[in-house]
Amino acid sequence: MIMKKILIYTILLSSLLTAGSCSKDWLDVNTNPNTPTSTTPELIFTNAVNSYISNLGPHQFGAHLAGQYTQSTSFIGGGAVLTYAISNTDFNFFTGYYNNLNDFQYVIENSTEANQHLAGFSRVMKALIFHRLVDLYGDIPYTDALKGTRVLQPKYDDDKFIFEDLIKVLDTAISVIKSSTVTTDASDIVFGGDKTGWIRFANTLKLRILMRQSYIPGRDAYIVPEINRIISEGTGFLEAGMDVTASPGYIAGSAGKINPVFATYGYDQNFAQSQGVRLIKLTSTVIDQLKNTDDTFRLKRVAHPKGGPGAVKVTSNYVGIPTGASGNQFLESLTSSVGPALVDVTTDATGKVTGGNQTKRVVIMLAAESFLNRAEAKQRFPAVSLPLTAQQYYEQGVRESFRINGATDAQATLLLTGLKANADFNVSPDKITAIMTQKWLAFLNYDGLEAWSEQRKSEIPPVPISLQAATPTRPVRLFYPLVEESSNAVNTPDNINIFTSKVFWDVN
Amino acid sequence: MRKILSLLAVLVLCSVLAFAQTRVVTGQVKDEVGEPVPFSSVTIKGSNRGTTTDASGNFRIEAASGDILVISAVGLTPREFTVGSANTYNVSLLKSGNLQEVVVTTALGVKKRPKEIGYANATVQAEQLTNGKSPQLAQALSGKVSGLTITNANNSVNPAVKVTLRGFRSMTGNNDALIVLDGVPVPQNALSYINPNDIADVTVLKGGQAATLYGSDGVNGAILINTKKGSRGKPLISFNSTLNFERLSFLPDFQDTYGSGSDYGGLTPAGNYRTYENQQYGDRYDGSIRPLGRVAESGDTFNFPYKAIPGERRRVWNTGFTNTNDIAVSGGDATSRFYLSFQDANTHGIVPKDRNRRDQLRFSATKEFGKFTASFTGNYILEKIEQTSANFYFDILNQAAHIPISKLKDWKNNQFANPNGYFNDYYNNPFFNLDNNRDLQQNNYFNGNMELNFKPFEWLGFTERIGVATTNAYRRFTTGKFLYSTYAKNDAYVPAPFPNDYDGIDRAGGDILGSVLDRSNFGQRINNDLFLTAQKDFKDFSTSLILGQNIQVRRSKNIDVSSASIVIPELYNVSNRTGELGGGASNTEQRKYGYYGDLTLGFREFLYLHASARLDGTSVFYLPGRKKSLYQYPYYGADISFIVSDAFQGMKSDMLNYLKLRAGYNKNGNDNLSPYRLAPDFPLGGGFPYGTTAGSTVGDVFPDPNLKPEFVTSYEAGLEANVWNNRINLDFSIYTQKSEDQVLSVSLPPSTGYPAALINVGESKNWGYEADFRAAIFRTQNLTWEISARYSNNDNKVISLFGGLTRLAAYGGGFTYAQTSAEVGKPFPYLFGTAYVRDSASGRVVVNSNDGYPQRTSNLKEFGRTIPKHQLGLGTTLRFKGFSFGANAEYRGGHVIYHDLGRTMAFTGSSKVTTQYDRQPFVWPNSTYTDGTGKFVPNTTVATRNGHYTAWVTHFRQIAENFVTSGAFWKLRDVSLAYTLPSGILSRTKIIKSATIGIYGRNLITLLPDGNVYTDPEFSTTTGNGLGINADFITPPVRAFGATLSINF
Repeated sequence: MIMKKILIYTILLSSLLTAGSCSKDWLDVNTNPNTPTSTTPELIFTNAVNSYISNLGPHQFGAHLAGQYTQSTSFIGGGAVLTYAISNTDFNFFTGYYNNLNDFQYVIENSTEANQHLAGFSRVMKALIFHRLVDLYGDIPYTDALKGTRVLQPKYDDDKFIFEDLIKVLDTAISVIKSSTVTTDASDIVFGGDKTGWIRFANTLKLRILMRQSYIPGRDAYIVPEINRIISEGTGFLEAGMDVTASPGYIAGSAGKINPVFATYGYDQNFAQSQGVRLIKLTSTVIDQLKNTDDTFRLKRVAHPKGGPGAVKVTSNYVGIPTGASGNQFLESLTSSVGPALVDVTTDATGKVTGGNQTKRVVIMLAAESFLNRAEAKQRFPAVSLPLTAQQYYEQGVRESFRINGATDAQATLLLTGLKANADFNVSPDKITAIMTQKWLAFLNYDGLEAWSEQRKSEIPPVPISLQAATPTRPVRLFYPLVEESSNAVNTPDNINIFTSKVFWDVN
Repeated sequence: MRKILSLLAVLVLCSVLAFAQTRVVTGQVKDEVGEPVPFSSVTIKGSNRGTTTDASGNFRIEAASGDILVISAVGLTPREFTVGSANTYNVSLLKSGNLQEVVVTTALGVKKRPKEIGYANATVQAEQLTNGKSPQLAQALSGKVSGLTITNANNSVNPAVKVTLRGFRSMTGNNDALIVLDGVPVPQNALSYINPNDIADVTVLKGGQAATLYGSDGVNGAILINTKKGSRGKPLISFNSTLNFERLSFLPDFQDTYGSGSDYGGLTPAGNYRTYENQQYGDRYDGSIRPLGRVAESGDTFNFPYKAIPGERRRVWNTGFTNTNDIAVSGGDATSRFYLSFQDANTHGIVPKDRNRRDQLRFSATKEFGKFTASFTGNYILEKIEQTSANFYFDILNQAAHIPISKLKDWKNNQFANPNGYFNDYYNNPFFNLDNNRDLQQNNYFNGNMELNFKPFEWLGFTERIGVATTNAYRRFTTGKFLYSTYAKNDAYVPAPFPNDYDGIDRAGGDILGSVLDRSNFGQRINNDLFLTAQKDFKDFSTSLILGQNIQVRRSKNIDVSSASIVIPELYNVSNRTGELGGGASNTEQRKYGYYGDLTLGFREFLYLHASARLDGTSVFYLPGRKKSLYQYPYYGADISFIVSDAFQGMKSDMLNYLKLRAGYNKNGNDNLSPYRLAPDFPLGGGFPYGTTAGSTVGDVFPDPNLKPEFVTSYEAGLEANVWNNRINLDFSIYTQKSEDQVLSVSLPPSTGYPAALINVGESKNWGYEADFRAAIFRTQNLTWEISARYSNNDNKVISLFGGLTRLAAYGGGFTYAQTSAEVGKPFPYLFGTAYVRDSASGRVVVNSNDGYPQRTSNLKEFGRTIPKHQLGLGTTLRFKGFSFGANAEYRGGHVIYHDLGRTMAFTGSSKVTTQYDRQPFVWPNSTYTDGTGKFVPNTTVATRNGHYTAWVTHFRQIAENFVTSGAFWKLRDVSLAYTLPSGILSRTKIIKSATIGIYGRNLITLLPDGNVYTDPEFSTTTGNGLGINADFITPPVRAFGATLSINF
């Protein structure tokens, strides 16, 4: 009896003191069963490109300031872009772009021999996104950026230095791509692993970055040899039909998996009208520009007639709205929204949208831009070793714009020989104005930010001040977002004025 | 064995046993209803020898025949008796009529006398809790304990509360008080479903020291809920029925002068009338007959006078009611006790068709077998909640005053209520939305624990207690399918002469395809404690020791499946769909172990030293290869209680009966982290997979590899006193707490590539004081009157964040224009929002000299703390013969809140503020402009260009400052009046032992400062750390009243 009790106490006491000392293994339940803790450069690359093409904010913002889109104030979401009362909590493209860049940086740092082409492709995408950040913000963190917690407060680099360095990044990209042995890669949702496509894209991007600086006095000393260097590289630029486009494999009829441009400016997976149709309208500036040059074939591709896709497609039915106008003219029955080139739909007898192409690839860079930038280069810097004349590049550029919008080559010929200034090169009094105007039109619906940047650098074509503007001038940049100002206060430049603190290439 | 140990005891206690003629006398002390009285004092008169009764009221003392034993206990009349020849004495004590002082249940269920405790605590008795017959325990506790803040974040049939003690310590982590049910930690939502009638008492341990033994979870203080366990004696059956009604108490201030219309470019509202507009920037009401909306497909038009219908926005709310029926049976004998209860509570909310039905069963039993005591408690709750998932409040708030909305309920049969004919082009009929969007929940909770006590000796006991809290919840969100008619889409027109901008109802463009989301959620917490308690007195010293170990496991599983489009209407199953199947699943598990020790040393019953220590190991900080110090951590604390009035007996008088001073220090480790946060992750990218294409992204949060638990250091001191013949009781505490190395998700500069990093960086301080006052003003046979007041003052401050970081923006949620943040040097959470640009010299609003409109700041301006600094609770109870009356009121203040519904109502133009200048151009109040030379000139002439839409929607609405108000309030929390039938009448029935009928009310009066014309300042969009922002999806405030009947058989 006594022994039994002693035994009980011993067990009780020892269990008290030792139970749970299984400790370490017992605690080993902290491995994430819900989200992967490892990945591959392929998976990251695919998503990073998709994330880039899904980010329509910069396009829409740019299109507003480029005088191409205007927006109803009767809906929440109007406002700042048209009143120009932009604060540092509006239009934060900074966070999204750096987050996107971080994925490309991950691929650059984690690719191996077997997938080093992805590191090359990622450098091209990195240059693309960084130049867009500079276009929006000027000086930005660059050399210190994307280092995670290794550099918690990245310093800012000079915008001009960044532009020059991006050319070097693209050089590296091209040499990495060239040295890789890839032929096809399904994770590359842009070119499917086609090295030549990526190198042409890189070269054309270099041309864009260089030509952005074309208004800086004396800058030709830098630009011309750099362009000649692209030509001597040998692979060439994006040529006819070679638009850079991507698709992760959009699925028609599936929520969240259709082409985001279609979903934003057109209809949802079930062809219910999205708010964008009512909210976002083409301006009278852009509609009138097209009408005034008899560019009606392209007009009917970039815009839907008032009354919607099922309405009669006569030129008088294409109506824009003055930038910043408010009131009821935003109704579909009165004005034009983004057209069939992007929002390609079919309608029934009553005009109801019943079908459409929800799976188009999204455009990253236009072949038209490739030609129009060469036209500007040749026109402005005759010394460049581009083989054709400015007019030849110009006309090819316009034809490419017609093609991608779904107008015919014959219709392009009509415009190019229509004796209208800034359409027919021969009768255009100022060739640069013609080139810049056509560039502006080519970007319509595809790349509003590029349209605005080129318009900002050249002031061509002139676009009106918003009717709601509180200031007599248009913004030339964005504020650094509040999150950057509050988390990187020591480095973020002070005294930014969005009307006067220009990006280095904006000398107009 | 016994002999050996007795011998040991003899050796240790030889001095005590020096009196040869003494013998062991045992007994039990009970109160007048036969309940044992634990910790009553048993002393031998004229000596310094004494003991106390144990938790079951038993005592054991060495005494000789002829000794006079004095038995006393707080709240009971002392009694003396002389030891005779018997060895066992049962003593019963009568209530003294003094203020009731109770035995305090401390951590692990260990009962202590108040004087032994060196930290702040409060006990709320069942009768105080059930005063207002609140169906939820949390609401019943509001205002009744100093330092305790219960925030009723909304008011639905499934209310959400936030329960904190002594404010906020952690900036981004959990600040919620630990809820312990019968010794077992349970999730905080237990406060919303547990039956208040099952509760014996609630003990609130305010500081971390109180709860050290609960491990990290006790860092925020603990609320210990003790349920009824039954009583010895004949079975007692009690029946309780309550009928509760709820009425809408107030709505925001509306305008009733302008009807439907928007901005059509004019400078005044004239001509802005549109029959189909949701906004109310139209013409002034003129009483003329006008159509609402468009001509219906039948050719009919819905003509109605264009004038406000008084009270229409109130008319749509139902009177809510709850019918609660309880039955409880309890009983027991010398060695056993049981308690069995059943409750059915059926609630209908003020939102039509919102319901909550809760049924629960509780069984608790205790049996003693000699040295063993075994007990079991099980509580099963089945809760069915049905609500609309549409935003009914929003829909009603934004109705124009002339819309006869209460006549449009029947959308199935009334062509003007049906979506195909409803007037509003942009928003559907609120009643259609309400019917078509449903949220059904079925929650099954089981909480149970088993406890085995083994007490081999008087001084030594072992306890093994295992508890489990499980939740099985099923939830289904559905949206009915509704396809609009072709007429509604394309042809519906506005009859002349009213403007017809286009044919077809705008909202009919998008068919409602129907959707279903099916959710299944499982949660489980297992808690095991195994500990020994040893108590022994050595001459002048008493000792009490606890040694134990604890294991906790928490698991959860959540599965969602959904479809965004259904095929056959009214069948809500994901198989009945087109398009892809949506959804996801997540599993979590976390484990923790702890070893603890707790020692109390008493000296002559007037000085108590208490120390406790604990070592925890936690899985949320564990990964293979991590240093042990990162996941295993010790913490400790000590406190002292000094009964000045007992130490210096001369101080005691009729005026001063009791005086205690206490002080404590402790440091608590806190594993404030969700599982799986230590390794970087690579979630699926947005939209993926697209068919066979997958894509992943680098996760947004960069975890610091050296992440470790945070620590909270607390100091507190207090004073307790009973004065004026124990009629007045005072309790005062002061405390300060410092939280260091907080695990913060810090917003990084986006340019680092990561939006956030998880680092140990933040430091904050939290301090305050509490004062409790209770007084028994009358205490005669027939009349007793007690009053009480509790005041708490709490403040906190962010000491540092990280690097150059000065603000954690929107960490608590909110909007881009108004958010709760933590800023260095300020209390947290702190409200920031867009504000007027002001001339710093005069403070006037800067307007544009051309158009008279104000400007909005580009940075967010600071407005103030969003949790109350001051809280005052007042209570009174009055008993006169069979009548009893009780009331509790509460004040909170010293904080601000943001009303997003004000912004919504400025957009639609339904708020009164938008008509203060009669929708005409006006000079912005208190404004100024620059004269062109940079000099500010007071503005008396430049009126706004437009006095309706642009002024109110484009400018006024954009400035969050317009919707920030004080968060202060006074609420009459509960009032009750009850009558207990005289026992003389009942005794004739021979069945009914007692019966009470009562009436009560809750929140009958709410007083708000002038600026708050919107809603209940307690309401919040979150029960997380971002309190202080309310929105239009929270059901409006109500007042409740009802009647209750209790019968005991």
